[in-house]
Formats: sequence, structure tokens, C-alpha cells
Amino acid sequence: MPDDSALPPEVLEWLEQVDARWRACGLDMTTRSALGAELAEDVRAALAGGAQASDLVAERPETFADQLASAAGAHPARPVASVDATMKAVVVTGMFGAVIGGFLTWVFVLPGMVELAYSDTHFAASAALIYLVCGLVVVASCLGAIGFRFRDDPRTRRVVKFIAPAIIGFGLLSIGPAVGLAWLLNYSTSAAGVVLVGGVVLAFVATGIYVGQRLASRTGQGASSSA
Amino acid sequence: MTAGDASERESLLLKGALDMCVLTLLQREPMHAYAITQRLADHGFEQTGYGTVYPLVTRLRRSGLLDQRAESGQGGPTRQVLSLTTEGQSTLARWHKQWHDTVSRVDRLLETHPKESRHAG
Repeated sequence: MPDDSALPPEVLEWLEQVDARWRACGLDMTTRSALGAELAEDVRAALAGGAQASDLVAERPETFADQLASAAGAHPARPVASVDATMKAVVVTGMFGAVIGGFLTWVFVLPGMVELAYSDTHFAASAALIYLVCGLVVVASCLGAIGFRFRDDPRTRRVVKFIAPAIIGFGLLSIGPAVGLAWLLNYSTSAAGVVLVGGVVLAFVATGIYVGQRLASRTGQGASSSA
Repeated sequence: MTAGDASERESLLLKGALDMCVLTLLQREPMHAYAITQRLADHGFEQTGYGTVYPLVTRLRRSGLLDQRAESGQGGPTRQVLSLTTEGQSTLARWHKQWHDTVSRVDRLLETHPKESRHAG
């Protein structure tokens, strides 16, 4: 693999976006590495020969990546998903991450936090802290799953930028009702109690994903229509 | 016709001829991909940038029309210099003939059409 450290930041970013497009289209790593290394070497030589970085990266990275892959006879393993399919995949992935986070919270985080932070003298504060940490774990798991699955898709990264604050906001909003419900259940750590409280958190997270997705969709349409 | 339409029309016209232009430049002098974009700009094709030329020469190499050899730069990185293969030479000669034949036919049609219009009017 060539040393990319000498390349200007805009060229590096463009090369990364080209590679991300190939990854998103399912090109295998060997082909990607070969095409990317040859391209980086050619770009470096062009820069050394007096080329302007802005001239080299003038083409949209997605268009360039598609054209180069096609020219090299490397066909993508899968087409790039439509906007609707991407949105659906974001929601499903987010909920999957939240459920995993909820399970981890129930098995590890909640008992650990009770052990660590529970206090009879500062009961309300300790309960709020415990549920805040548990909620944050669920939210982080949700965002982590979305970020990991769509790490190579620039369009989805834009959607995630809207969804992330919405999930965090609704995750924080869920603390009040979750703590209230837990109080009603006498802070039971039984399976039924945890599932009920977790369900409240998940419902808020799902609302956050939905709101973020709607905002991203509306902004995207606005950008398209104004272009 | 807007400037955008004109540019799109030019891209369309150039699409079938750009590979021939690139082969012609390389027949005269082996060079690397970016130098091709500079030569094209010298000939008035400023819109044809590196993002178009690099995939094109990749396709021509894959078709066996171009050869690529590494040339050590003077104190700089290694440059990949492109040149025509024997197959590239014969293909270019064929494309030149085909281009001239096509242009002749189109020219004849364009020259005939206004006369016929006048007769009709």
C-alpha cells in the first residue's frame, strides 16, 4: 500500500470517498486495494508534475469510482440502495442496535450500576443516574449499529447526522417516564419490570429515529428541489 | 440553447471520439494520465478533466490498446507513462479512417439539407 501521508487533505478525502463508494457497492478488498493504490500513485505523480489538487478531485467521487470500476472490469456486487430502502435499513438497524443495547443493559449495566450507584439516602438522584447510564448505553448501541453498518455510505451518513441528535434527545426525554414507571414498579429488577421500562426507552428511541429520518428526508427534498 | 445544454451536447459528441483523441496524443508522445488532460486542454477540451481521462486510459489499457510502464521521477514519485501497443496503433488507424468516413457523410448531409430546404420553400 502506498504512503498517502504526502497527499493534500482534499485529495486524501476524495480518495477515501472513492474507496468508500467501492466498499458500499461491494467491490472485494483485493480489487479495491489494487485500484486504489494505482490511483493514489498516479495522483501523487500528477501532483509532483505540477497538477493542482482541485483539478484532480473535480469529478464527483461516486461518479469517478463507478466509471473507474467499470473501466477496470470490476463490477459491483450489489447496487446502491434507493433512498426509501436506505431509510428503512437505518430504522431496522437502529432498532436492532437498541435491542442489543437493552439486553446488555439488563444483563450487565443495570446490576452493575445498582451495585455501584444505588444509595438509600440519595434515592432519587441515584435512581436517575442509574437510568441515565442505562439509557445512554441503549442510545450508544443504537447509534453504533447505524454508524457501523453505513460507515461507507456518504448519503446515509448525512441521514445519521439528523438521526443521532434526535435519538439522543428522545433518549434523554425517556429518562423521566422510565424512572417514573420504575418507581411505580417499586424499582423491580425482574424480567417483566425491566422489559416494561426498557420498552419505554425503546419507544422513545424509535420515535427519535422516526423524527430524525423525517427531518433528513424533508431537508434532502428541499436540497433537491432547490438544486 | 443554454450553456449547460451546449456543454452536454459537446460531451455527447465527444463521447465517441475521446478515446481516439487520447490514442492520437499518445501516438505522438508517451505520457502520463494528467499530461493527457493538459494536452486536451491545449486543444480546447478544457472540460475533459482527470476524472474523465483516468478511467478512460484504464479501459484502454484493459483493452490492450495501451501499455503502461513505470518511469522514475527526478526526485519525485514514480510516474506511470502510457504508450500505444501495436494493437493500439492498428486500432487507431482504423478509428481514424472510420472517423473521416463518418464526418464526410455527416458533412455531405449538412451541406445538402439547406439546398433542399430552399427548393422546398
